Amino acid sequence: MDNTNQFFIFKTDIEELCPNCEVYKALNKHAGVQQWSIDTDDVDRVLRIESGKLSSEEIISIVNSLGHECQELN
Amino acid sequence: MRTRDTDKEQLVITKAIEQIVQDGFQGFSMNKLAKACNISVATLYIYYKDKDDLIKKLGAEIGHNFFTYTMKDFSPKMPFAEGLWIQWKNRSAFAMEYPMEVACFEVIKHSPHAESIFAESTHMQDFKESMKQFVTNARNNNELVPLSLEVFWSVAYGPLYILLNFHREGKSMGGIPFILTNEIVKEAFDTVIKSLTP
Repeated sequence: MDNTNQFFIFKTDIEELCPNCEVYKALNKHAGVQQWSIDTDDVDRVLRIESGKLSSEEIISIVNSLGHECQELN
Repeated sequence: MRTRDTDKEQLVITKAIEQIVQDGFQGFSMNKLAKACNISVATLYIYYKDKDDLIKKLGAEIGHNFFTYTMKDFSPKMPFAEGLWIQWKNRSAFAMEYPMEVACFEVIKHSPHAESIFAESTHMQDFKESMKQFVTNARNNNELVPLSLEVFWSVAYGPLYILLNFHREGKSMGGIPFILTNEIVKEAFDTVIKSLTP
């Protein structure tokens, strides 16, 4: 990976992930999201997003609108 | 917005190896690792998607280093005794120089991650191919007695790994203090070659 990649890391309350979940579908089809993953085994259910276009506020509002908490980790 | 930093990546790898060796996979977590590295969990997640991703990348990295090291000055076309001696020298040098990596690799090798790590590693494939060729040549040149694969491996490398274990623990059977010297390695090697030669 080169240094131009931009990563956003969030603490969430997304406990489970499946291809039918709203979060899964929304992130998969979002054009601004290059790659994403959620570590559901971790206590912080860490959401990791690679994007060149979105801001952290925009990502938070996407996740919030799907009924989940989302807070940027610094 | 976050970017990657290769110095930090190296620190993360070193600390992760330490923690896996000390606590195993169960006791190992992204949070603990971040604390040990003095970085935030967020930074850690820039490098790795999750714990499994980290373990896989770690295994691939150590495997790559091990296979590269083992192939130094070695060719599968070498006479059997000469080639096997280089394997012994390289493998023991690696174990002496990188004891933590070796211990960590052992943990990973016996985990469910091993299969995917080895399947994706071209170095591992090259290494296996080279070793296979080496043994085939030795058989064709009548430098090696016919043996089943597992027996061959146990006899050819088993004594070395047992001696390296004694050395790592600093003692042999019944707690007798032990340090592995070149003379002892040579003594074991000569015995191995004698038993493998027709």
